[in-house]
Amino acid sequence: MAEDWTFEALDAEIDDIRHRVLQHGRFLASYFVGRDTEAELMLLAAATQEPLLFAGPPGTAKSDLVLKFVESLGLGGEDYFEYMLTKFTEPSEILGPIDIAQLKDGRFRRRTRGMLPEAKVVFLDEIFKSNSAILNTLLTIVNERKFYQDGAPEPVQLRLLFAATNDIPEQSELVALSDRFVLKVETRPVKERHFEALIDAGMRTEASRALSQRPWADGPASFIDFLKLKRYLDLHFAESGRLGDHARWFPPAIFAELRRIVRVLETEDQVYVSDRKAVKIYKLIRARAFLHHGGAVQAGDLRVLRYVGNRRAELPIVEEKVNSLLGLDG
Amino acid sequence: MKGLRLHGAAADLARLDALLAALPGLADAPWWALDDPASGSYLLVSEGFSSEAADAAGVGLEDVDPRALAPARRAAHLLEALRPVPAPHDEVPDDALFVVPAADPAATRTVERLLRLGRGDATLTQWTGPGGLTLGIRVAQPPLYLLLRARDGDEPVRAYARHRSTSLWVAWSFQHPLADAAAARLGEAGALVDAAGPWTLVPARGQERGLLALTDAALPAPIATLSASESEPVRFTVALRLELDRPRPASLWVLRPDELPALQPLLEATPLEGLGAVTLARLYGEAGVQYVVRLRSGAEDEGIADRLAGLLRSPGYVRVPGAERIFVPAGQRLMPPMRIEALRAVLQPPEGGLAVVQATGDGPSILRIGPAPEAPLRDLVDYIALDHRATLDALLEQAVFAIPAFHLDRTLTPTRAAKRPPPMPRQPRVKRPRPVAPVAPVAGEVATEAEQIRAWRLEAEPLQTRVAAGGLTDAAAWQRLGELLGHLGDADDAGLCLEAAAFHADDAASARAALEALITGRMAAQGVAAARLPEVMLAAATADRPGPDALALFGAAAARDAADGALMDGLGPLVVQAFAQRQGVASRRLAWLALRAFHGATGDLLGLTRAKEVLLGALNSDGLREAFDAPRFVRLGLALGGEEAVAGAGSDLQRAALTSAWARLEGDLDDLDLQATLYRAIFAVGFAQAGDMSRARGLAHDVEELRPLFDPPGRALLRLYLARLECLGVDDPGPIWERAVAEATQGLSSREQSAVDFARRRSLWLAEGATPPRRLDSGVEARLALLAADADDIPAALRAPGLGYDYLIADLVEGALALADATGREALMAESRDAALIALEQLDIPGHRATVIGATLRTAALLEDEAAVHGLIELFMRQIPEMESIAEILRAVEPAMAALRRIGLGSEAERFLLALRDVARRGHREAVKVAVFVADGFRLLGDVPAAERTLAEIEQAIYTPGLDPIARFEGASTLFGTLRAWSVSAREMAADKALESLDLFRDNFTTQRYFRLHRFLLVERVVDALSDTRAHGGGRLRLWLEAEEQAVRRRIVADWRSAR
Repeated sequence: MAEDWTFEALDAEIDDIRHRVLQHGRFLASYFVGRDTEAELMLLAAATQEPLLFAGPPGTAKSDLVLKFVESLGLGGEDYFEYMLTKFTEPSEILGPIDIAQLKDGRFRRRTRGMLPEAKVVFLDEIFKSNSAILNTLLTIVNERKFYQDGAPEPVQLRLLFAATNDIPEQSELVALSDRFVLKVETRPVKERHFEALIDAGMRTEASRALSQRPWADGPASFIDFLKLKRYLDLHFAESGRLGDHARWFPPAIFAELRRIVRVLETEDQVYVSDRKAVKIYKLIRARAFLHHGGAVQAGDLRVLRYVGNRRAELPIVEEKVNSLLGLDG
Repeated sequence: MKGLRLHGAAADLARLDALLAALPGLADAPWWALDDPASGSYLLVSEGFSSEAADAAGVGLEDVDPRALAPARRAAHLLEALRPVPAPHDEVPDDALFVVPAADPAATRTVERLLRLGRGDATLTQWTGPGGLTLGIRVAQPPLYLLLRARDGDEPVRAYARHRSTSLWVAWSFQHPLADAAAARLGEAGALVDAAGPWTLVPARGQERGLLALTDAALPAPIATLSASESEPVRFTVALRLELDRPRPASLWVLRPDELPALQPLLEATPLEGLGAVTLARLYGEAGVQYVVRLRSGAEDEGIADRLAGLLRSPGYVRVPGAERIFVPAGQRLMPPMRIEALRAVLQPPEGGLAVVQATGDGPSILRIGPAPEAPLRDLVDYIALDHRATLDALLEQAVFAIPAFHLDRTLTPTRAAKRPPPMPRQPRVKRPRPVAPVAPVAGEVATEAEQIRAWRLEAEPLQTRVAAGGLTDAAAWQRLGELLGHLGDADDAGLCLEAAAFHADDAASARAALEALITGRMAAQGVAAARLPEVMLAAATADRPGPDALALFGAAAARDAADGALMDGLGPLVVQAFAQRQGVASRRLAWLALRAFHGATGDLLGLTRAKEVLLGALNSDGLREAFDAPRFVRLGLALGGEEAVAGAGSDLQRAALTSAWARLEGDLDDLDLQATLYRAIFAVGFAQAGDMSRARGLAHDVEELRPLFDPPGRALLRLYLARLECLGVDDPGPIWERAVAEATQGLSSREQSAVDFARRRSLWLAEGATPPRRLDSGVEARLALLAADADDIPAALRAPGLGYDYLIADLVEGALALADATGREALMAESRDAALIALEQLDIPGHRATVIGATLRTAALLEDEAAVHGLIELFMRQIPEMESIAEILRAVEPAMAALRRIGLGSEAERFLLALRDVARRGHREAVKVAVFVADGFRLLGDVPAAERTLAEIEQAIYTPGLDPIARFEGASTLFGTLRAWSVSAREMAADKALESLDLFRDNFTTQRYFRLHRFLLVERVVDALSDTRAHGGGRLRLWLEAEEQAVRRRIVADWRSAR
């Protein structure tokens, strides 16, 4: 169980874990064309167990990225749940059907085997098309990592949530769910710039699947590595909070830079950053710094800010703006 | 010693004022400022202090222990001693100065950052002081990032914001408590005031140079040099190939001898002149004899080329453009493209001959055709007369006596006589119209025609004024006015007045008299003789789309005949068909007259009920219509009323107001500034809207001259404003506008495009096409379509909407209630209203709840259910505090308010407004929008003093310094949007205040690097309000229609009730 891992025990192997995880990212990216950013963000999302949203048109490898990532971690079967949502999707399709036998006894319980509550990694396509019944359940699952069976909360196994959408809605009902995805990345088609490489990579994947081969299934890192990494980060943040040594891990000058960039995004581009999101951003930056170089946050770690936009139209603007601000010091 | 403690609050100034009043010389005396870090305050000490005088002034001084405080800062005078206070908002200033020691690397870094952010427009000045050389980098509308960095970063860069147009620069995000006085004191010097208070005096006007001119770019990269090589130049061989090209008519064919007969049909069918365009040459080569057929140059398009290609079954060859003697197969071209000289060198056409590139299976081959005599085909044709006349003559001789036999049948059956046509339907007896007694001439004078007309006009005027007041139910007044207008030749208005007279008549005889006068007038206007009236009625009743005049005559005659029991057989259903419809082209009054008469005559209470429902439903949905229910004199008169005189496209007052506004603005403008040019463009559109085309064109010309000077986004916006000018007055401006947008935005980078789109979405005039219109969810649309087909399902659909999201339910309720209202069926409307309240219970989000309450309130108002209206208003008021957005409140409230006015529940409407005014006074961020709505609401209710008081409160709120920039702009925008419907004088006064306070309107958007968005958008709103010519008159007319509607409703319901 993750709770049994102590800081000391993890500290002994954390550098190896870190290197394996980074290598895993490169390994995953090698099976795609022009998806290095997505792969890097998936690592970060997995290391921090923060949800990641892909926003892009159909056919831009969103589902394939998640599937290969899952398989590369050695997960499969009931550990992974994937579904495409529509406005007609009923809760039973993702949470499991009602157990009729128990219903006859007056208990409202669902049979969750192979469904979302028991999956460690979940991918929900067209997540914002879901209706309010599913929406409310998802929010509880994402926020509290539990869902209700017969009125009583039960923990879910969910560790990694990936989602995809063609557009990010602005209705107030859906903003709550959208805000849970601190990281949103725009997946753009690559065929204009990498046509030949895309064909090659795509055909290799097709051939592999046809021959039931999965060369990507043997990645450098395992799911356990990611769990240990997350545990280590949690313990590290807790210790850091206890000692009050945030400045050691997030130098004041870089922290000031973070604050400036967030302020500029809010003021000049009307990008809303909620209090919750600000805390999450800080955590993600610290995690990225640890993952990539094991030390204090550097200016380059602030590139996480590229992906904090809210609306679809904001995503490229925020990315470009953050790039330009981070590039000011050469 | 004694000192005066200051906290950086507004109260400080009052104490200073009192102190200076007691000791006026203190202002110029030296002072010391001592900071008290523990409390955040500071103390001012001066040798000139006199405790007694300070006590006498009521200004408390305290004992100062300098050892307990931070080291004193000496100031030459009081203004310098005062410490700046934090500004309420971090606003991006119009003008900022970044000060940095020249020797520090931060100077270079600051310059680099500016250049990387595309701000090469910054200027640099320098001065030498105790610390050495110091640089001042001046940037207009600087990037917020650099300001934050200077304030919060660890580099020795300080940022200052200029106070207005003075030479006083105060640390950014701070403000000097007496900035104007401090600036005035500076005279020829400039001052940099730090946040902690110290002043640094600098020259007010140093030499400023452009940043780019002072920047030496360097590229720290290894350099490799290449020089010319002595060896032979490389040459490449490229094979020419044939490639598909657009089709062009051929002008040359190469034929074998056996292919030549294919020309025969051409020779037989083409006249001699046509054959002159075709030449033939006979040539001999390795393949034996071949013929070359050519079309004279220019004849390719005369159809002969196609004919030849068809006959010869070969597409032929076309000339290579620019090369007379080189041909390629038709529909192909040589690639790669070459210069003609190079092509000639490759193909080498013989002197005087041709080179033809032919396509073979192995690629192109070249056929070189030497010079050969070519003869036109006409010279090669021998015509033979083929005369078969002798054969024909012989046939004729044979045929004359060879008539074939025939059989004559003598037993012909006589045909039956045609049936007698059916008898005509019984014509009702046509009564002679009652002659109208002429108005007696003015007593004592000879009644000439002109005097008679004048007398009629004088009599009509007060009656018209009574009508224009709205809600007139005096049938006699309507009747008399109709008669007078008839005499004056205004048949249309006379008809509408007589319809109203018949509608409001209290007895059958008066109604009949009005109808008779109406029919007579309509017949005269349409040139219909009495005997033809039945025929005209029938034609109007059976026409697919009867015109308003024909329908009006039909309706009046049918109403009269039905009341007399003399309606033609078969016309009854046609009356119902023609008048019981929502979008008919007859007035609502006439429709009711006809339907009431018909159903009354037949005793059909159910039909009368249905007719009532249809007409009330039509009123619920659309109210009375300007085109069919309002006499023209009312429409014009309401626009003409008051202080304005409308003439064509705009009024003199409006043009004068625009001229005055432009004069006020123009004086402060820098000619070569983009902002100034934007204002010019906006005023050009405004003057055009107000009818002053010459001034509009003059300004547009200036804009066009200046446009190339600016950055691409600025150029794009200017082009769009000019396009808006071009679109004015055009019937279908859509294609022009789309083209203009495409041209204006062509070539913009993604950043520039974003800036232009950002501005367009917020513009009144440029937004078309920039934001897609809000559409209902397709599922909701489909459900509403079903409910429109069967309105009885509406209550059930609302009780159980079965939709997942609040916004879907709200949209469904809003649409479904509108459908229920349109039926006019009170029971259905009431049931739907109750069902909507059930649906309301499912909603959690306050904004959507308010929408449902607003729609339900509208239905309750249309039902005249005062108790329900009262309850719903209370419910709405309870909802307001939870609502996040004022826009949501207003969207929910507007239809309800309109319904309350139309129904005549003015007191409830007023109560609503007063409650909303309290909301506005609570200081919500968007409170100004609510206040504007309230002001306009009072105006529409006729309470002008309340409207003006609220307007004054609004202006005070908008122009208060320290208001959030977005709230300020949105408030002003809403204000001017509403003021369009107000009088020109009210608009002009508001415009003056807005233009006077234009400097207050700032924004911190990314677009500030190109233009000051809020300022020019505000000018747009102001100009739009000043130049709008429809809203004001339209608003007054709307009030008139609402008043009339109340009277019409009451009458319809009263007639219906009395019939039961």
